[in-house]
Amino acid sequence: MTAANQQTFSDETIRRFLLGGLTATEQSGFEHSLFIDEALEERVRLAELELSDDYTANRLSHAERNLFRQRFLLTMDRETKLHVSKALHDNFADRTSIARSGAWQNFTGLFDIRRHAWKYAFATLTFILLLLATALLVRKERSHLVDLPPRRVLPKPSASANPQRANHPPNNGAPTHNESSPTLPLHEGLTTSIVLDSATPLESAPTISTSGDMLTVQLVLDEPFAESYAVNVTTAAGESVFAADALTRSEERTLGFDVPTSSIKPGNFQIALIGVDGEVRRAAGTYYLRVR
Amino acid sequence: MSLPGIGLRFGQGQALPLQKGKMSAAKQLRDLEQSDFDRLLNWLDADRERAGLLYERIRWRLVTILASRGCTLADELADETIDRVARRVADIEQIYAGDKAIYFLGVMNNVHHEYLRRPVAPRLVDTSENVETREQIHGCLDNCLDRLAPYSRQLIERYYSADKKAKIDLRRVIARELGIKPATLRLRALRIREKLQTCIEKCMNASEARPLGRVN
Repeated sequence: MTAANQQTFSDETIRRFLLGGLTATEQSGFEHSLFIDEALEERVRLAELELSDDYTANRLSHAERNLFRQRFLLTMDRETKLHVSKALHDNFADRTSIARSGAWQNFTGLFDIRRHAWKYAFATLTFILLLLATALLVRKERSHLVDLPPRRVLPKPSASANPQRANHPPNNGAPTHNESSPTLPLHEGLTTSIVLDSATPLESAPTISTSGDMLTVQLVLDEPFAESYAVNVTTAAGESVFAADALTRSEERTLGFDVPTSSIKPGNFQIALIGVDGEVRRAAGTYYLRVR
Repeated sequence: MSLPGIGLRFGQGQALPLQKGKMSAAKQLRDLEQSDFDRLLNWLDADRERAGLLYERIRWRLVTILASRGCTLADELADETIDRVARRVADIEQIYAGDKAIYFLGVMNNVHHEYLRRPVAPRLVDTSENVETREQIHGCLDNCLDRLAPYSRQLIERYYSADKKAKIDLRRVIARELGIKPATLRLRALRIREKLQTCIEKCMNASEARPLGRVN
């Protein structure tokens, strides 16, 4: 048999031959070639095995499966091939599926809470979270402590040995306070000192208690200053209780004088300050104080 | 001579009875004498080994063609064809010119025509396998896989390891890795598969002492 006499058959034709699907003409030519063409013989042998494998692996159509059972599975040899195909499929496909399912089980098993590893992990994680929360809480509390302003203790008013200026400074441009000045504590001792400002109205005037013999008054002077000053202390009703002339500044801006406490009764008092420059006398300010 | 099919049919100079239950009406002939069979082999090839291989190949072709024609007794008719040729070899061996295998094809056509003229009960195909056979095949498969070269074993395992589309993709990957065409890979794998088939059949014969491929 020469090569020229040999027909070439496709794999599809070979499969149709095995399934009994060739026409009479095709069948006759194929049978003749099968007897003289060794290459075709080998292809058909291999195609038998492949067809059996495909049947086992369910890779045939419904019609092909029927043909396989009716037209192919007619010999003992082919039945044996089918058994081997099943064995191969079971062996390797099962391994694949087992390996696949095993891999999946391993993957899902990693997240199985019942595993001891996960229990330990969760316990450790919980412990760490508790530690962190505690540390955070402590730190926050400390920061609050640091941020807290120191407790302020209101200074207890006390009489000082030196005269002090009360209320607002004389040169303020600030609005006048309408609130009443806190009640000053009683001054214990022989002398009571008070600093008065002409800008302080009667409502805000300091209240004093005359416990000593003399009341030392320091008046904050307003400019222009005079060569000397005269003061007249009167009650709210206008009754003069104390007067003094030719007073000079003891300091640069203040004028001091003493008033006998015997002449001062509880009530409101007004001090009229008069500046004297030679023969000229002028009002230099009015100061208020209250005595209880 | 190590020819399973032949050896089982012919013993030490005496014909073996054909297997009960597989006998067709066409087989109601006298058993083939060993001398006729020896003459047949000698006619096919003077070398006994090559003659045995040629005999097997001719028988396989006969069975394949008969099955393709839808013959439900392909094995039996193939054997009947061989028997008839063997009995006529004495008459034709001096005068027949041409491909000897083709002579079998002509005789097979006659046998098949006779088969078609008589009513034949349809052969029930039993694709199931009992547990014992299944275990035996699996055991033989393991043994035969162990006998494969590492390369062949790895190839066949990967080739059969996926189904359907995954298998097609996997085979493309394997072919690319090996630097061959998918068609070449298919041939290589199927040749290994054929070796496995032969090995398993031999293993089954050895363990059961009964034929698998040929039952007559």
